[in-house]
This record gives sequence, structure tokens and C-alpha cells, in this order.
Amino acid sequence: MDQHKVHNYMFRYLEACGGTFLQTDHTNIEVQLNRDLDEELMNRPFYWHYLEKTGRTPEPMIMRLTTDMNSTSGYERVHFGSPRLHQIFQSAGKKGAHTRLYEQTNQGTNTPLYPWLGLNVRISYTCHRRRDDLRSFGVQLISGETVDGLWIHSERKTL
Amino acid sequence: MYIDIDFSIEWEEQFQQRLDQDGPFASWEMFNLAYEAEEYQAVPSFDGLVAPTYLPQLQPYDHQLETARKVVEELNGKAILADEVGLGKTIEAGLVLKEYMIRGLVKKVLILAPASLVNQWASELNEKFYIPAVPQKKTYVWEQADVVVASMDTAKREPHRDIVLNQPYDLIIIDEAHKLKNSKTKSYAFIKQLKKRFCLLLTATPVQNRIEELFHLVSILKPGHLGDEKTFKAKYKRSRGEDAHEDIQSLVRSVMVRNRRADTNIAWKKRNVENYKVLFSDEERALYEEVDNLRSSFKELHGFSLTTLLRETCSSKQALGVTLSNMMKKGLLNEEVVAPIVERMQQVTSNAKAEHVLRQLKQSGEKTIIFTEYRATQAYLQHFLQQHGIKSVPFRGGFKRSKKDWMRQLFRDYAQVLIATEAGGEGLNLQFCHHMINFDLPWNPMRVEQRIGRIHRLGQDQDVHVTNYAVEQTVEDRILSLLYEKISMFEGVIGQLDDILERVNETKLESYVHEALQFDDTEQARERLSHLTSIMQREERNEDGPAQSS
Repeated sequence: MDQHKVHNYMFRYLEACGGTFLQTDHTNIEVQLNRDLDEELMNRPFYWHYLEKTGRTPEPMIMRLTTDMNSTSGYERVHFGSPRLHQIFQSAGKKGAHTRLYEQTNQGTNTPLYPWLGLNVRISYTCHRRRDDLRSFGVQLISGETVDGLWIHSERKTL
Repeated sequence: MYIDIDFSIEWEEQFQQRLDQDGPFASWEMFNLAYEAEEYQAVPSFDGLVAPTYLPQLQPYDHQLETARKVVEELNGKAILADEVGLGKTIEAGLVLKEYMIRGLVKKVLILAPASLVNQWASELNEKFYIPAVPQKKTYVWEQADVVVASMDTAKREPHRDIVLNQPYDLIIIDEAHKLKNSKTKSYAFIKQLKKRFCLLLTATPVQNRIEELFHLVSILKPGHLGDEKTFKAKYKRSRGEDAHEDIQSLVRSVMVRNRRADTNIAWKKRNVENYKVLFSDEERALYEEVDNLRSSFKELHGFSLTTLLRETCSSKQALGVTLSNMMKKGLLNEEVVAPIVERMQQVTSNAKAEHVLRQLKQSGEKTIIFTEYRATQAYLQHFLQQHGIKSVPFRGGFKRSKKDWMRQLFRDYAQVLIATEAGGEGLNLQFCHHMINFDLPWNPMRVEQRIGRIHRLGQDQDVHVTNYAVEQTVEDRILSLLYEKISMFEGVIGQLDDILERVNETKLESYVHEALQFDDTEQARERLSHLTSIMQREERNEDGPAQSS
């Protein structure tokens, strides 16, 4: 995972969670967190507990991240393997665990949709070493048809 | 064949909940992000290392990566890391640990290091590897923290002992593992009792004196790997130079990795060594002669003690004074004998070596480590330098862990000089400094090498300057010219030397050198020493792997 990908990933995550971007370029991100993100990432439960008890206006923090490893701007340097990115991975995994989607079809015509149940699985082969296998299975809930690699199919559709 | 399969069931409940409540469902984007997160974090293959991709800031050397790979892939996580001094065994261990943690195979980790290195281990793991290692300070740490760094002495003591023994560890790392060479010690018994899955032993000297030491180390990792002790010894003895020897070697190779400096592709910084001959002042010379007179005037004095006294005289009169009073307390010397020496001591008002140290320090203005063998000299030097406006900090083995850290930090940020005694040598990293003065020289060249190793190690980015002091026409002069120059150790890369010396029993060597120095005739002494070097060279030729030593 190169630094460019790290940057894109973080940007998409923050955007999806509703952060307000104050300033961004191809390496730096400065983002005003919302309450949800602050609780998720800033690790200050006492502050939020305190707010709840006293009923004050919450002031979520501003987060400054950079993927430029030589940066001297005082932004938090993030790379693959850094605790921050893994926190974001964890958070995304938790938030994005379940979804329900409908395919977008031509609006003029009535196209019947088929219900699919998709399941993304990680299979870990573990002994004194380990290997992971990510699989994506899908079951068509009417016919019972089963496919491997549902992910690849669904990526091509507009959902 | 029965395969134990764990199914994650958490998702079922959560999924059901969402069906029942018709939500909340994540957006398509978030769902994508979740999938990608998994994709990035998945370990694609059994082979290879994934840790380096997680640590772009760390730039390990090839031999370190290769070692880590070998430990994980071929040695199944049970290994002795026996690289020579200064090749970065800590980094290798850190890589292995990280690799296992990423692969989710290791969670509970215990690291046992000498007390002086505990904080250093913890901070290196945190800073370089993003591993949340915690130095053990309070009892609850054992249970609460997953990665604990502690000293062996603490861990094996109650009440810690029980707690540690009751927990299963996924990985145990033991630094300076040669301290476990003796299977009859409490530490050894303690380590044997630990519940562990993977285990790394770190030592630069897997064999110091006898081959059994290696056997004991291997027994910690894989009991029975080399058979039982008796058969192993018998087999080893019988098999000098035969096939069985090969057997043992290949067995050992399957639990040990040893890199030598010469095998690595590291460009070492240069080591500039200068030997400086100091001239005694007339008073000091007189004192030296007086002590030397004991040889004829007080025959009961053991030869070895006399040499010690002489060496101390060369260091400082304070060092001499302390030993003299100790010997008197023990009744080894009487007042009558000591009185003339004390008189001479009172006449000595300066220390020629210290004067020169001062000149050198003022001239260079660089951070400098001064090593001395004697506590009294250490105290004297500190006092002396302070009088001349140079700030210095002391360092010795007896300091507590936190005090050692503190002294190191003071030296780095504040003081120009660190004055260390021998015990301060092991495991101290002082790469930020590149000047060293050996105020007096130990008998064993290996110890000098360890001293130099404090600054001449990986991470040093400048050439290293070492100055050895010796007083002209004294016992020191002879140590320097006969022993050290003979082995021509200072200039060389010590690779082979430490290899040879780790085989020669330290006390044996000392007494040998001592004997050699007893000869008044230089020619004879030279002969003895050249004999010694030839023994060493022969050993070296015979050595291919550490397993062959005796």
C-alpha cells in the first residue's frame, strides 16, 4: 500500500464519515471532525462523558494528517503500519460491516430485482504460520444459485 | 485427520439485529472501505515477511531481514540469534515479533533483558516497531499489558515469579542469553519453567568456554534436540573432525543464526586508534618505584596482587589508596610496609594522565567517554574535571535502571563527559558520541572491544576516535605494547578476535598474560605472548562454526 493509496483511503473514509475538509492537497489533509469521528478516533472518552453530564456544546477536534514522510509541518505522519491508519481500518471494518443495496436500473422501465445475500469472509489458515484468503460468496435467495467472487460482480454494477 | 476450525459467530447476531430493526446499514462506500481494509491487512502468503511493509520508516539491513525471514520460515520461531556484537540483534528480534503480531500468531509477549536495557527495549519497540511494549514497573503490568519488558532478576523473584509462571506466553525474547549458560542457576530453572510457544535467545557469545553452554541454550528452545547432555558430550568428544561432528553442526544450524561483520554489506565507520604514552611526574615515578619495591621487600605478597597495585598506581593514587587500605583491613599488609608508600603518595600532587585528559578534552571540545577500571579513579576524575569547568556524569553497573537512563540522557543533552567503569560497558548505546578515552586498559582485549562497541556500532554516523593511555615504562606500557599491539586488535575489524577470545577462558587468559608479564626480560615475555597469539590463530583456523569450539 503506497502513500498515495493511504492518502486516498483516509480521504474517502473521512468523507464517508462526514468530516469537513478545511484544507487538502495531494499529501496533507486538514479536517474538522464531527462528533462521531472524534469519538471514534481521538480517544478521549472522558471528555465526551463530561460533556454529556454538563450539557455543554461539543467541540470536536481538528485532525491534521500527512502522507509525506519528510514533512515538517507538524502534521501527523501516516503510513501503512502506523497506528492511526490501523485505527481507521478498524473503524471502517466496524462501520462498514453490513449494508443493504439496490441496483440502480433505468428509471423508465420496470426491471425486477433479484435478492442476493452476499457474504465476505476471511479464511485464515493458521498454525505456526498464517495465510489469509479473502472470499466473497453470494446466494441468490430465490433460486439458491451460489457464486464465488460476488464482489467482482457487484463492483461493476451501479448500486 | 481432524482439523479444528473456528467460525466467527459475532456477525450472525449483529446481522440478525439489523434484519429485525431494518438497519442501520452502512453506505456502499463504507462497505467498500471495510472490504478494502481487510484486503490491505490480509496476509497473502505463508512465506516471506510482511512486517517491512508495515514499517517504511525502518530501514533494516539485508542480513537482518534474512535472519528474521529464516527464523519465521525455517526455524519455526525458536532460535538463537547469535550475531556478532553490534549487528542489530534487537532489530532482528523486533522484526520477528512484529511479523508474528501482524500475522496474529502472537499476542502475549515477554521480553527479558538486563535491567539497564529494559527501558531501551521498550522505547525501541514503541518507536521503531509501533509495538506497545511496556516496561514492567508495577505488579499489575504482568497481567494487563500484552508486551512486557522486564529484567530477569525481577521476573524470577517473588511475587512476580508466580504470576509470570502462571501465564502462557506466545513469544519470549531473552536478551544477553549467555547468562543462561549454566544450567544449575536459578535463572535457568526459571526460564525452563516458563510456558512458551516461540522463543528467541539473543547473545553474541553462544559459547564462551565450553560446548555444554550451547547445549543448555538449545535445551531451552528444544529440549532433546541435541539428545541428552551426557550423550551429547560423549558424541562431541569422540567425534573430533568426524562425521558426527557434522551432525551436531547441522543440528545447531537448525536452531541458530549467526551473522558475522565480514558477511554483511555494511560500510563501517572508520576507527581511529591512537596510543598515547604518558610520562609520570617525578613524584609519581617515585611512588611507582616504591610500590614496585614490594616485590623484593615483601615477599609474601602474591604476584597477582602486586601487579594489581602497580596497575592502580598507573591509574590514580586514589585507586591505589583504596586497595591498600582494603588489604590492610584483611591483614594482607602491615603498616610497616605501607608507610613508605603512603608517604610517597602524599608527595604526589598531580596526575599526569588526568592532566593530559583535560588538555585533550579542551582541545577537541567533543563529547567523550572515559573508561576506567577503578571506582576511585572515576570519582577522582569527576572531581578533577569539575574543578576545571568540565561537566561529567558517572556511570557504573551498580546503578539502578532508571538512574542509568538518566545518566545517559544527561550525557547526551548536558554533560561533555561520561566516566564509566567496566561494569557500565554492556549493552549501553552511545552512538551520539564518537570520542573515547581508555584511561587504563583491562587485561582482556575483549573487554576493550566491548568498550569501543558502545560507540562503534550500527547507527554511528561518524568516524570513531579512541585514545588509549598508558604510562611509559610501567606495567601498562607492557600490556599495551606486548598484548594489544601484538594482536593488532585496535585497527582491525574485531570479527575474528571476539570469536577467538570468546573461546579462551577469561581467567585463563588473564593469568597467562600475568605470567607473561612476570618476566623481567622483554624477550621472554614476548615469546610467551607470541605463543599465546599462535594458540589463538590455530584455534581460529580450526574454527568454522561455533559448534566446533571446546
